[in-house]
Amino acid sequence: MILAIDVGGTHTDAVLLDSTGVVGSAKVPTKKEDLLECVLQAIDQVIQGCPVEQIEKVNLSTTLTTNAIVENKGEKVGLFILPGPGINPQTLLIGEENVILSGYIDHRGREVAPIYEEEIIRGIEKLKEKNIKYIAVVGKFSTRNNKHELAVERIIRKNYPQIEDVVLGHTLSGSLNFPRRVATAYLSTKIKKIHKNFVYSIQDALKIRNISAPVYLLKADGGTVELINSLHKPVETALSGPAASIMGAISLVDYNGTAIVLDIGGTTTDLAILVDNVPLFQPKGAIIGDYKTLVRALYTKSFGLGGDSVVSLVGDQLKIGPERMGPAACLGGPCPTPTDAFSVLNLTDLGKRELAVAAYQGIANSLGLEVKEVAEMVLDKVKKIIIGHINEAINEFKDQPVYTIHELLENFTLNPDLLIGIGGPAHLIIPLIASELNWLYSIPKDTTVANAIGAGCARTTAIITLRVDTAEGFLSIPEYSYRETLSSSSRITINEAEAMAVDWIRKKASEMSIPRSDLDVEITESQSFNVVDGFYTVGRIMDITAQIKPGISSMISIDKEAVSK
Amino acid sequence: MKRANKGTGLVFFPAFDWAISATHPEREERLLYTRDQIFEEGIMDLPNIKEYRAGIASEKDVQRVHICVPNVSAVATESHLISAGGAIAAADAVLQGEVKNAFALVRPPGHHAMRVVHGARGFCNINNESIMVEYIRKKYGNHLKIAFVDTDAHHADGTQDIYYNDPEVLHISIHQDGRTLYPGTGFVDELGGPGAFASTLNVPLPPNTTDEGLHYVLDNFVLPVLEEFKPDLVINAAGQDNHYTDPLTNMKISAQGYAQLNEKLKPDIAVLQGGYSIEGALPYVNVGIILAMAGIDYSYVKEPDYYPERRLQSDRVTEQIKRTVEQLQTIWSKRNSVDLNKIFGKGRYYERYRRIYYDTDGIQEEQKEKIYRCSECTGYRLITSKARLFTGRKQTAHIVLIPHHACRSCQEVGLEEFHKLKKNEKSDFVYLQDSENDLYLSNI
Repeated sequence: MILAIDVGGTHTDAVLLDSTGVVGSAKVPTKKEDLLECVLQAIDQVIQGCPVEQIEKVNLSTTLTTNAIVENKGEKVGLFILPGPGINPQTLLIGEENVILSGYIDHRGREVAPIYEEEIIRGIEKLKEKNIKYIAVVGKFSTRNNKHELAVERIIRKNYPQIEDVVLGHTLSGSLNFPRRVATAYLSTKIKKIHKNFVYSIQDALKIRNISAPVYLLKADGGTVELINSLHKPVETALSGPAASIMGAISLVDYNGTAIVLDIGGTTTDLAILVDNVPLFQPKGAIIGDYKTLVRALYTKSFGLGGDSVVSLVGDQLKIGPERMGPAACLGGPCPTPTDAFSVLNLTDLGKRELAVAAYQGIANSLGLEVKEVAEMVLDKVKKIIIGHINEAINEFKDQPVYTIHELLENFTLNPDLLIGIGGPAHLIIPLIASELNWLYSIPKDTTVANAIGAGCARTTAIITLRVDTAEGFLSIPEYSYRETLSSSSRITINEAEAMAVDWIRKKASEMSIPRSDLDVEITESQSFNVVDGFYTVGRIMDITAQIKPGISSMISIDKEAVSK
Repeated sequence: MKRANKGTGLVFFPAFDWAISATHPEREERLLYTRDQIFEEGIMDLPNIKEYRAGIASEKDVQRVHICVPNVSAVATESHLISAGGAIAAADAVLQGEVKNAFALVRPPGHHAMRVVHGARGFCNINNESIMVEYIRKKYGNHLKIAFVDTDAHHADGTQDIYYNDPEVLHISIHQDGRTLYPGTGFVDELGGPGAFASTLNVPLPPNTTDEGLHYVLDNFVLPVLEEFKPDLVINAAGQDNHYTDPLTNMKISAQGYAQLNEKLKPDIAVLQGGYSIEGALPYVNVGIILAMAGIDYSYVKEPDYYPERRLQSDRVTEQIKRTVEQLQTIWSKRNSVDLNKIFGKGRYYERYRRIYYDTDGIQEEQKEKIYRCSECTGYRLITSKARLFTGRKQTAHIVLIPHHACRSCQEVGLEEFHKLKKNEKSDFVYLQDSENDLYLSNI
């Protein structure tokens, strides 16, 4: 059995899953100040009467790291950067103390300027004065050569043995984007301690409850990471909430085609896109709070519209959201909401209809219309807003810049024709939109705990970026600080490089004890360039990215809602 | 025309799957290191940068500029149409008011492609920036006054040829002296046709000109001329091959020099041209240009081997540049009092004869052109173009051009000429390019 917990904004859900589906569930209110406590409460409720030795795995999706980042909690960070030439480095100084070093590496991974130990030691003195013990070291192009970052770490450890942790930029992602690498390293360093405390507390708490199964955390990419392994890059576990709901949709609905997932809550709606049961990614990485990062994340588009959004009148125009003032009026809330509009029109038997009618009376009077007419206008507006966001999301992918003739002519477009609805108000809103768009729709039956189910079904993911530059004579995998010198006669082909990337990720998967049946490896990017000097080809540059796709664990085979065209 | 007051559009199309040939300077690798630098700098994440996807230019977009012999698809492949489509995407972003200015960082380049095209010359098949300008004139109004400032190290002979007789388009080319570099043209006395005298201007610079010399030309000639011409749009054909590391030229411009140029020139749209120092120059020059266009501090953008003394140039070079600028200042200031009959003769037609060599495709072209010296407009034009392809095959094209704002009579006579030619010439190609009526016909 799998025990899965999803900490949401309002509720924390726990489910117990056996191979065929949900065998138990619990819901407790989320306590933002003490996430650990509500996680444990939910666990205690759901495992009542369950033999804990049958639990094979615990999957956990929390808002811990997201909250810490958004609320700017965490340790003071000393940031060492090696910016080289380019954008003014002053714009990147987001650490509580910042040190700019003069050494730098170029785009081919060549050292252009060396690092100076004195500069680093002077920086360390500043950190000591402020008692800063969490350090991030980030170099421009450090993914092409990590030499400087490693050397700076050595010098810091030698001269400042009291430090708690050093995070190196190149280990966080193989992608190019120095400002995002800086932000990712900064956040990872900042929330390290908070995350570590949480991890150890969870371990202790599970031990007390005699749960010895391995524990995994859900990441923003819809995959999981083993609790202990999450200590290195805690920032990856931010934004796991939307990822949980997307994985929930995939675990409950089976559709070979393109689908839009709408997770409709009380205040906001999260939109995601699935193509043949695989979610689309955020092209450049997650945006967490105010920070653009290199954290791999599933694509989501959030907007301030939910079942409890406030409906008001601005001039003679209806306005819906983005705020929520409380529950729907029919349930005793203070203002009219989309849910009340359904109530007015007798489309739901939730709460008291007369309260909903009363809530809309003011707007109806101002517009000189019947309450029912206003309710219809509200639903019309809800449809328009949501369909507008669906179209925007589709266009975002359609207008995505491409860099080859092949891709440009291929003219990638998304043609979704299924809506998957999750969340409380989904059963009311989704059919309306689907009929307007003339699409199919599916609302899985366990929709209220879909996020927890999603967290429970998710399997472990991993990614590696392989760079081969035979002209410069190296092969490297930045995420694993791996670098190998190649002889000048090296003739690695693109096929060999791809095979190498796949081998590597398989090897990593076995170290992470990912079951073979969950090893869905794919090459997501593969580029190869001849390097020409004068009129001679002197080598080859190859960039390959391989990943274990996010998907549903083979331990689970829930009866899915099959949708067919 | 609504215009935005901030934001820079960027169309990046490196054509990572296209080359003229495996080791040709125009190969897949050309913008690879530029991509690395742009991506690593996080340029696309900057709040005032908006990235746009390149489009594909249509056949008609090409026909507005070129007579392609025998047809568009014979001389322009998808890569060329996308490069031109990239320039068009940049233009739309600016003219729709989405961004203040835009940079089409696209390849292959275009500025050596002339009006008549039998094949590729100077790595160019079709003229991206002219295709963009004709698209702008069609979509956003043919009254717009446009100024090109071509800063590629090679003379922009193609764009010059296209706008040779068009008084609404000012074409200034700044380049390494034609006596020392391909295509061997672009001298001070090339000043355009009888209908557009002095709207073609050339600033040949001696080898070893540095940032100092380039900025002398900008400050003392280009900017004052633009001030007087008052263009609605300034287009920078942004070649990057006058960089001090470029393998094909002998100039000494730095990334800082390019960025400062952009800051002064304030082009509405920049379109990449040549530039073949793909590691030592392009990554830094392109980042410098983008930052300058976006109004972001570019003072930290420096090549690994840059030092400030690179600005210094020899006194001989400085003197020569000063003389050239003086000559040009005189030409510009006296342009309205010049007796055109002395230059173009008193006949009803002005005729010119040229030989054009296509280095990339090994084509020899001979061109005879007759321009009707109309008192109402710039006059219809008749061109006979004979080309000998590298295979030995010969092809001849007879062309009638009816310019923008052609008078009724020139429109009628031009059309008559086309029909006459079509009837007579059975074996040759006959074309009509009627810019005034956006009409493009041929006998094929």
